[in-house]
Amino acid sequence: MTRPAARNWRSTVLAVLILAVLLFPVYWMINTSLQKNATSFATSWFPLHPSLSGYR
Amino acid sequence: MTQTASLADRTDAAAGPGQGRDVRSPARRARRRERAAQWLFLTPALVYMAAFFGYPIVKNVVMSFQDYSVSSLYTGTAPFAGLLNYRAILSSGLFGQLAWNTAVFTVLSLAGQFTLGLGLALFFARRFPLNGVIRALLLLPWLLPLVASATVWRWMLGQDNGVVNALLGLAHLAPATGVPWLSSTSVALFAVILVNIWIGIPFNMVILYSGLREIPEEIHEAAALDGARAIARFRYITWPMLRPVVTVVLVLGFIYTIKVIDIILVVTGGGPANASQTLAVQSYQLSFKEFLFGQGAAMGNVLILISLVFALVYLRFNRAALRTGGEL
Repeated sequence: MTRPAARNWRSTVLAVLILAVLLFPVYWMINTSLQKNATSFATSWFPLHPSLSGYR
Repeated sequence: MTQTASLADRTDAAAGPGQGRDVRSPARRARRRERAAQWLFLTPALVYMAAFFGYPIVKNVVMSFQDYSVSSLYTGTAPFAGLLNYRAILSSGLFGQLAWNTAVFTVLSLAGQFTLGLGLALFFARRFPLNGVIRALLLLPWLLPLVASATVWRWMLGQDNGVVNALLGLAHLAPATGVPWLSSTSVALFAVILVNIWIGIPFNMVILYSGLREIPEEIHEAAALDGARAIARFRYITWPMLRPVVTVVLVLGFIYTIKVIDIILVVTGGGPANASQTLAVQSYQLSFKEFLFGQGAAMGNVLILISLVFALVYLRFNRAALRTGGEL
């Protein structure tokens, strides 16, 4: 009984990984938009100091 | 015209039903009124089609036979040029490369989108927690404005500071200088194909997934009971029963892909040195960069002809699919 359930969750993990790869550009768009000094030269991986100045 | 007829009918009716000359007319009048109603329902759609599809296409065909230039915009007249525009685009020396680029772009995009879309559809046809949520999120690339996602890709594909090269570098998959995604004539076309595949995956996945759901579960169960393995079940049950949907996806995908212009314009602009230039992009650039509207229109017509052939194929297959669907 536990086996199929465990396999189902494994599918979910795989699905989340696929999602992460396919939605990376979307993440990158949001990530860049939240960084104040983001240029095409320096964009950090995470918006550690989020700023909404890009939207103003 | 039909309106006045129906109006006449109504005044007839108002004049009274008991008149001698109208013995068999109630039925006929009802039929005529129905006719008028049908036309009234059709008229908005017909006017819309004529204004927004018919007129531009006719105008485009006419323009392609004219020497339509910037001065034509002021004077409103353009001299007749016969086949000169077509001769110009076909003999420009660039046409062969454009046709080749368009073919490579279309075929590889379709192959990538379809394979990945089918794989994802098969994967999500299984039951597991959060299936629906994740499937819905996967549609996101489809919902973003093309110009926005193409712009993001242009940043990401930058050679020195792009995140794609950074990731490849982390995995030690790229040379130290990075892959010149957008600046090399031999890579640029594949870069735009990559972006186009990414954008096309959700469409392929959704349609193929719904096609998979149409296949009755019992058939799979029966085959499994008979000892058919997953590969055999796919080969002999899933694929044949999915065929009509596959055809629809591929033909629609073809028509959407061959006319792609926004992605290429934003990501590479057709460059470097026309390396990622396709017929659609060139049509735009002839018209709005070089202001050779006649040649741009001619190029557009070549594209329309190619698409038309595949649209006819689509309609034929669609009818065949409907027929077999009726048999099931």
